[in-house]
Formats: sequence, structure tokens, C-alpha cells
Amino acid sequence: MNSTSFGKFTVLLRMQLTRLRTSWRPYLIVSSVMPLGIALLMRAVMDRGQVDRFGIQIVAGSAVLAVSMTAVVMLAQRISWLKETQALDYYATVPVSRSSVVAAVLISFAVFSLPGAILVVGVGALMFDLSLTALWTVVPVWALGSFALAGLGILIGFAARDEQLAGMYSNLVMMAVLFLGILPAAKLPGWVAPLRAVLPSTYAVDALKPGLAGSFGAGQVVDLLVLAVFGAIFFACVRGPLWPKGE
Amino acid sequence: MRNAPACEVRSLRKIYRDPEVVANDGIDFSVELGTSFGLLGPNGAGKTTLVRQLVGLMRPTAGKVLLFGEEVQTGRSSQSVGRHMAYLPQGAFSLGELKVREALQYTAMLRGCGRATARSESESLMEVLELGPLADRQLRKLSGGQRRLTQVAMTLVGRLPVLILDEPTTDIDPELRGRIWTLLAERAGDGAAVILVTHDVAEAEHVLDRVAILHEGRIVAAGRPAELKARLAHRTRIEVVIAEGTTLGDSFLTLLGPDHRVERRRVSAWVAADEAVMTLEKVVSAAGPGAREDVRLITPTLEDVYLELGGHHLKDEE
Repeated sequence: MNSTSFGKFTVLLRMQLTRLRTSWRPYLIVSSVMPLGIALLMRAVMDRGQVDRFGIQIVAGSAVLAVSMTAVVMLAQRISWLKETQALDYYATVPVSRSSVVAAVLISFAVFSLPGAILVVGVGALMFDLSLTALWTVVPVWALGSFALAGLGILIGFAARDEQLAGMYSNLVMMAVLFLGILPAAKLPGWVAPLRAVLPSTYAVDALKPGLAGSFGAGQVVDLLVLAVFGAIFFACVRGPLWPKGE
Repeated sequence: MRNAPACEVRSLRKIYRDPEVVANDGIDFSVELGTSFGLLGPNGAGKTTLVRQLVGLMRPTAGKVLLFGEEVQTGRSSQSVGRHMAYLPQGAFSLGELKVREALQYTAMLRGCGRATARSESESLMEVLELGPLADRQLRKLSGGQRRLTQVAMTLVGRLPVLILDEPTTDIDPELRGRIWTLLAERAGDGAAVILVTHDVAEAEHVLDRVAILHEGRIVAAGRPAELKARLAHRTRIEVVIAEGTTLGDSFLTLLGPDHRVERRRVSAWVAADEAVMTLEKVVSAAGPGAREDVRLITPTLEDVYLELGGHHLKDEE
């Protein structure tokens, strides 16, 4: 029996996931050490009242930062390297659709970001005495948030001229995710509001917060929908650059 | 359009901008199913640029590439090209974590083979190319030659009708190089169109039905290897390897004529074919039994044809 389109997609996904054989440690360490370190530092300097007021924001922001480290920074550098070395030629010359290749890459990096996110949420919840009763709500936030952020990572990887620039751009995005995600919106100056609005991480943090408070509401659904729209837009944007323009 | 050539190139021209470089200039050729075609030439001749246009990875500045009569569209879905054409690039492979067996089976499945066919084809290719002991090793842990061999197998798996291979034997030892050439000749014999870019002219010429020699972006000669070599049939090369520590006088070199070439202990020169044996006897006599390590009469090769056309030694350019 010949491979169907879905069969080919599963092959592409399995090919991408083989990276976990050797790279799961770097993915876990890179994605969790910094967010956990920041959460720990904040916890160390906060009094009980501040922990109660800002704990959820800090853990949610740190968890989304963990996802961003893998889905934005590491993916952008990976894509840029693939582009530079013409390693993407393989996919461009086998009979598969661009959508399948892009989806396989996006999903694989979403998977790579999962262990770090779980670790940060788990340890963060313990540090800040948060409820884990609605922890299941982390799953849709991770799924849609990592998909949207990985789309942003691929976009940066294609837009950057080389791997170094991809690293620089993605780290700038990561810094924005860090400050705009961990600091409460009320504490931020007004001029950053537009930046918050265009970063998918904002909606991921907002969607994660109710779950860490032990609840689930309509606001969370709206944030998840916005993340889905971001994911769809990035998906559409990165399908084009995957194949060469014929320089 | 199965009666159209498997691959046809018409007036192909490729100009890079900034800085402006004419990489391909008015290239025409066609390759039929069941034949093998070689693109020869030094680095910078435009071979890889040409090949990347054949597989749709680069857009021609002018002219067109046709695959079974249909124009190859660059920048669009690869699916139509990928269904008919397998490509071995010079560059890296993105997934070093894949094991050799997986790389072959997955590639076959992406080309449309079912799981059972993919498995049997992969096993068969691994056996022929002696990749069996490496089947469960990750690509990133292979030597350069082993990785190249795996990439060759990945190109052959799925049995597509058009095979395009850019330097398939780089880093591969002589015995396995021979197997690759044999395998490619068999594929052409089985009905595939095989297009090769290679520096291994001496080895490849035995499996190539036709060749084109590229120089500065243009095809400067094309035809069957025997036809091209017939251009030099009036000449024969004498090659003498001098024994270690021996110095030969001017009188010896004079016998070989003014255009002789000296590379370390190897002295070579072209002589008229009908005088070759006589000249050889004089050279052997002049050198004396202790002074020469080896003496050969060599009929013209494709590389000689290339040199005659104003190029450089292909091997020198690697």
C-alpha cells in the first residue's frame, strides 16, 4: 500500500522527533533553567503579600518563557542553520506538501518545549503555593501557545540572514516575552501595550493564569482563540519561505 | 508526456546578481530514459547551479527545464518534481539523529512507497552498499564517506525514473565507488535517466552514455565519451615514473618533446599515436633499468579532452 498524505505527514513528524534522541537534555535545560532561576529569584525577594498577589503572574510568565526558549530561540537558530547549509533541499525535492513539512516542524518543537514547561509549572506552583486543581488547562495553552510561538521562531529563522542574527533577533523576542510576561500589565508603562498586543506570549500567559488559580473561564477561551489565530497566521506566513524563491 | 525526454534543458541561462556572474549561459541538452548523462567541469564551471535549476531549487534567468515535457516550476510545491526525480545534493542533511535504516525507509515512504516496499528496498540497498552493519547507527555518528554512501542510497530508494546526483562519490573509498558506478549503470539499464555531476571522470566515463563538458558556464563539448576521446585519437600519452633518488638529464626530457609535464617523480608527454611505441622504446632505453619505476602508454581520457579544451586538471581543482 502506498503512503497517503497523512502517512507522509506522520513520517515527517517522526523524522523531526528523532531529534529528541540526542537533544532532549539541551531542550530541557535551556528551556527550564532560566525561567526557574527567575521565578526563584523573584520568590526569594518577595514577602508573603507579594507572593499572593504576583505568584500566578510569575509562574505563568516563566512557563511561557520556557516554551519560548525552545519554540522561538532554538527553532529560529535551527531554521537559519538549515537555510544556510541548504539542508532544506531534502524536503524541497521529495513529494511532500509544504504544509506537511511546516506542521511537522512546528509540532515537533512544540513537543520539545513541553518538558521545560511542565517542570516550570510544577516547581513554580510549589514555590508560590498555587493550586494545581485546574492544571489540565495548561495543556491547551501549551498546545496553541507553543504552536504560535514556534511559528514566530520559524519566521525569525527565515528572515535572519544567518544563524548569529537569528540568535540575536530571537533573544530580543525572548526578552520581550520575559518582561511582558512576568511583570504584571499594571506595572508596565503604557507605551508597551501595543507590543503586548502583538506578542502571542501575552495571550498564552493570560490563558494560563486562571488555570493556576484553580479556575477556568470564558476569558481563557478567548485567549486560546487568539493564540489559534496567531498560529494560523504564522503557519500561512512560513509556508512560502520554506521552499527556495529561486535566488 | 511519457514520450518526451525525461529531462530537457532549453537555452538555459542563469545570472547571479551582486556581483553579476554568468553561471550558466545558453545550456541545451536532453536526457532520455534508460541513459546516463554526465556533467563534467572544474569548480566554478556552473555545474551545481545547473543541477539546482534542474530540480527546481533555483529559478533560471532565461530558458526552461522540462521534466517529461512539463516545465519545472521553481518556488512552487515540489510534489510534481519529487514524484519523478530524486536528487542527491552536495550539501548537508538536516536530520543527523536519524538512523541509516530509518533514513532510507522514511525517504522511500515520502516518495510514496508502502511500508513493506520501503523496508525491502532499503534492506536491499544497504546490502549492496555494505551499509548493513551501520543500519542502526545515527547519521551524525558516521564518517563523511559513510554518510555520503547513505545519501546515495537515499537517492536510489523509491526507484524514481530520474536520478540527479551531484558528486556522488565524494569521500568514498575506491571499492565502494566502483559499486556506486555499477549501481547507477544498472539503474540506467533498468530504464532510469541518470544525470551525474562528478570529478571522478576516469571512473565515471565507463558508465556514462553521454557527457557534456562545462567551462565558464557554457557547454564546450558534448557527446558520447568515445566520440569525444576520438578527437584526441591521433595522440597517445607516455608516462614515466622515475625511481626515488634518480635524476634524469635533459637528453631524456628532450625525447619527450618540449610540452612534457613534470609532477614530482612523474614525467608525461603527448606524442603522435603512430610514433608512441617507438618513442617509448627510446625513453625506456634512455632512462635505463634502474632509473624508471613504471612506464605507461595511455590512450586519451575524458579528462584529457577537457584539458585540450582549455580547462584545468579536474582533480587539481578538488
